[in-house]
Amino acid sequence: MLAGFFVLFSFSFWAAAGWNRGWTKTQIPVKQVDEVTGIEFVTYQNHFMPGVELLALSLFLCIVLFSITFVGRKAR
Amino acid sequence: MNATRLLLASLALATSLTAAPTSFDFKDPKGVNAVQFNLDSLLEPITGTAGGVSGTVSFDPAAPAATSGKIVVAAASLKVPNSSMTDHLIGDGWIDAAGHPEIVFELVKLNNVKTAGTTTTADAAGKFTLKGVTKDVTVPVKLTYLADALEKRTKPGNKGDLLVVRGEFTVLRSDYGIKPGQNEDKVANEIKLSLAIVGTAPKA
Repeated sequence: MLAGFFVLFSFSFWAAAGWNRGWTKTQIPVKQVDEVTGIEFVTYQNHFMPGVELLALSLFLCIVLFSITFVGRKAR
Repeated sequence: MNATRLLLASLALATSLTAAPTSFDFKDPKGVNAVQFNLDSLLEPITGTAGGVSGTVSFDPAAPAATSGKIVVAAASLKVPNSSMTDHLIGDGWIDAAGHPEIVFELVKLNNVKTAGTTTTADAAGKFTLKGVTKDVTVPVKLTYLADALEKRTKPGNKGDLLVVRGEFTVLRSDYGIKPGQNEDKVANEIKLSLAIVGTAPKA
C-alpha cells in the first residue's frame, strides 16, 4: 500500500515538474538574443526539474519497499 | 591641379598603408560572450556554456587576412544545467579547471579569406589548448565588422567598433587527455564547440 502510494507520488511529482525525459536539471537555460550583434546567448534560471534517473531511483526504492513487506509477512 | 590630385592620392595611399589594425577586446561587459559545447550522452546530449571569455583580436577591415589574436576561456566558467554535473565536469577527473584554468585558441593564420560587405569568412588555423594539451586545429569562422556600433550596445557617445566572431568545430576529448577511452558508451568522445562572441574597440 505504502509502496503503491510512493510510486504514484514519485510519478506525479516527476510529471508535474515538467515530464523531463533527460537528466535532472537544477538550472534551466534560457536563450536570449543580443539585438545589435544577433548573438544568441544563454542565461540560467534556478529551477529544479527531476530527470528520469531520479524517477528510476524512486521506482527502485518503491520496489525494495514492496519486497520488504513480503519478507516481513513470510517471517511472521 | 594635377599636382594637387597627385598629392591627395599619395596621402590617401600613405594613410591606407600605415593604417594600423584595430585591437578588439573580447571581455564583453554585457556578458553575452560564451562558447557552447555539446556532447552526446546516454540519456540526452549534454549541452553547456562557458561564459568566461576574454582575449584580443587584431583586425583590419581593409586587410582581414592579416587578422591575429587569442581567445581565452576560463575553464571554471563551464556550466551545464545540473550543478552536480558542473562540479564533476570542472573537477580533476574531467577538465581539471584548478590545474588547467585556461582553454585557449591562438590564431596562427586565416586561410581561404573571402569578404563580402562587412562579413569575412575564412578557415582559422590555430593552436587549441585544453587541459594543458595543445593541438593544431582549423575552424571555419565568420567575422562581422560592425563599424561605429559600440554605442548602440552600450551608451550614447561611446564611440567604437564591434567585431563579431562565429565559428564551430569538433574536438575529441581523448586527444586532450579527458578520460581517454573511458565511459565512451555513456559520454561521447566527440565534443562539438560553437562560439559566437563579440569584441569591442572603443575609439578615443
